[in-house]
Amino acid sequence: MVENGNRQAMWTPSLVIPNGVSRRDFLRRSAAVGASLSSLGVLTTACGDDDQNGAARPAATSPAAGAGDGGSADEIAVEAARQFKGTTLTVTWEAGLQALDPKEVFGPEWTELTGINIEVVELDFPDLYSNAIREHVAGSGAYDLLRAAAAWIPDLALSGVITPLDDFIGQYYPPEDFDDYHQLYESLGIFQGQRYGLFDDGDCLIFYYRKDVFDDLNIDVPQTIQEWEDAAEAITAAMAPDIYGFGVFHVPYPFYHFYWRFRVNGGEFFNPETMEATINSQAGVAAMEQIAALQQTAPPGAEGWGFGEALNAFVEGRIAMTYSWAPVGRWAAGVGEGETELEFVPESQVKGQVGYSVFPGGHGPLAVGFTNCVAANSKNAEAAYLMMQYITSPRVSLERSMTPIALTDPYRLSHFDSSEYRNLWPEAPEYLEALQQAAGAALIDLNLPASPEYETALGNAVSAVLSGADIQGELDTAAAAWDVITRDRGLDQQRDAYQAFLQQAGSTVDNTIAG
Amino acid sequence: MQARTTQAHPTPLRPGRAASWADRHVRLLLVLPAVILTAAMTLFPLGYSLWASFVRFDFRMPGHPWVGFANFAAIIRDPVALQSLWHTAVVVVVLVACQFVAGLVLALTLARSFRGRNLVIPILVLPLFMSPVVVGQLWRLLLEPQTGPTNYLLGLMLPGEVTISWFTQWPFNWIAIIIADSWQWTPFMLIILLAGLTTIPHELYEAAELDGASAWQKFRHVTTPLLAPIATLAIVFRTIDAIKLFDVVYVLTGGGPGTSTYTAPYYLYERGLQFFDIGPAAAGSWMLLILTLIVAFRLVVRLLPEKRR
Repeated sequence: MVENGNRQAMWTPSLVIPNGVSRRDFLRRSAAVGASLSSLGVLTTACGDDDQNGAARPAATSPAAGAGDGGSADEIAVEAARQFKGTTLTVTWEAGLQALDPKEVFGPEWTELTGINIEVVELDFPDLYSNAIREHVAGSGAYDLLRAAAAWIPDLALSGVITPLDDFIGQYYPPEDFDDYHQLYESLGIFQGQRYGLFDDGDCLIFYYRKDVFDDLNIDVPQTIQEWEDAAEAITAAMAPDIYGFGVFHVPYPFYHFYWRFRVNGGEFFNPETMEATINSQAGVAAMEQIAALQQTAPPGAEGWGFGEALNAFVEGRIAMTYSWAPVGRWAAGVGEGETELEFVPESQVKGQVGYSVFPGGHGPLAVGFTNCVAANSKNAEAAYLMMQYITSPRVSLERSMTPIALTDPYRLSHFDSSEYRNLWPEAPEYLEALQQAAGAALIDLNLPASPEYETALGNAVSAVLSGADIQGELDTAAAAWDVITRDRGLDQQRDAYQAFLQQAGSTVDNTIAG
Repeated sequence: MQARTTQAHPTPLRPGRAASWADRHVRLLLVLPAVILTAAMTLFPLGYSLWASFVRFDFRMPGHPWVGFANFAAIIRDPVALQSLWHTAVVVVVLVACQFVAGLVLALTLARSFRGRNLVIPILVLPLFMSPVVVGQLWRLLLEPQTGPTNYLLGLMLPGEVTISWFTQWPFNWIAIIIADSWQWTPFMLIILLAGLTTIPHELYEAAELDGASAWQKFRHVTTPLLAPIATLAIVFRTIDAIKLFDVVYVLTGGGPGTSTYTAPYYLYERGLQFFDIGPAAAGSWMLLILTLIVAFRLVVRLLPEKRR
């Protein structure tokens, strides 16, 4: 019965998006469907159906959820934004599939509702940071909304590139909708007591594995990093070259692999008093050894994989384990197959065989975590803010996080609990639970002024180790580079920022949301 | 009436001092705007960059305090900067040598007339007109380990599966860079050397033949000395250009893995335009410029016969 029901509600674009219906219409309709399903979910839960545990929460995903007390976040944003009709907002967004979100998913509806146009500037991930600074220095006012990794907020705030949002939030954001943010994400975007960004992309990585391969080889789902390495070795030994034990993205973010492992191994990035870099400690060496050990079980050439190569390898069934962002789980389940925009994703060979879990060892990374900010030089700051509120609102963000062509990962409590989302494919509840657990145990990126410089120095060390370089030597070089960065940026400033970082949820294994 | 008289017999005007000076320096005045414009366009950026290399140029902080040679010292102390410079030195020697030899072989082949020559030359020269970024993308597709044809074709020729990671595995990452850059710039050598070969009078070869010179002797004693000036020009130009190697590295390897394919320009780009460390980046740029000038000067001195200098 459950399976039947799931099958009916499963995401099949040809059913949900009939020919001739625009994506805009689809979004509007899906909001209505969402409201209905959420209401049904509440009723089901009230009747004692434990399977639909997400429906126990108030149906914040429906447009009508906050209407009783002045409207929901999206409604308020749209109403207020109409005064800026005719304005064009220039927004930076990561190039490629990410950019379909403003271009095709929420953008057209926003323009139709408010009369505000959106011009999307697609940039590679590192350029989201450097171009924002470059335009700020030039004083061009070229951008209104800046898409930034959460770790960049201190740098962008200190540099005056982005502007505080507290006044806008106080004026426009309904507190009940704001409180719907998962606790992990709530503090991201705040620097020195002011909020500079609205968090907009869950980005907690989870562990994916092939249930059928595990069953065939009688392997249990690994609970520790050692068990993980053992499982990967066993699979590669038994099934390569058809199936390798493990494979993961490295380019352009190899440092993420180190960030979380290092802390799981008990490492601290700096001595909190002297700010001497301690990434070359024993914990750092252990983290690098773990990275290198797992890489040994990956297909040849996998040390150069980006997100796309790792995705393809997993979806095509060439690797049995990986970890990645949430869309991999959706696409591996076949969600979105047939969408023109997803033609680059091979047809999934592992549908129904994918297991989702938090990382072996208990803690995984929140890697990137896109946060939307208003550019300090923007001439349309209020309109830009209102659009940010609209797209992060419970209703619109849920739609964006479910749409297979956008890469928004769940980040609101109502996302994890959405019955609509849980019915997208049979294993969706397991997937959402893994994501929510991952958020509870996640380790956030180091966010200090000069984060991109620290990341680059560390990333160079990780990619060198992946190519066979000496671990201790690379870590010593990276630590020396970190010390130079810290000294150049000012020891006191960096110490204060690091101590503030240590107070944030997810900064260490002893300070996660789950505790 | 008076006016008419004046008009009829005008008093000769004595030119003023300024007009007189202008008359004498009219040529200078005519070129002065162009000189000023050129100076402004050339000298101002250089001067600004020189100033930036002596100050703390951090847009996060107010003012630009004078720091003396601290930015230069920061570059010299940075092991990645020195490593990048070393990479640049080695790769420039390899690139220029490979491209010169290949260009010379092609030029000697194409110097003779044969059927289809007029078709072969434009085809060979075509890569020269492509943007280096496009060249990088092209070779990225060709060398892509999983989906590119190179590993597949090598696999047909070699025993076993070929799984070379052209962008992440040393020394193949450098080989990829050298292949891509040479594919684009060998035609430059070819054109210059071919032009040089066509200027050598044929009578000299005939005279050498009459003297019983072998092909090698003709090449050694006729072609080489007469080609030397133009070959020097080609080598100097290519060296200066190869020192600036950036685009292909950016597209193919991104400087990685680690910093293993950082070149000096890539390092300066990252430091200046990714991390906005403008002062040290400007200082490093000046150091690279001075090194380039020294190298170019030394090349001219070494390669050009003394009497032609």
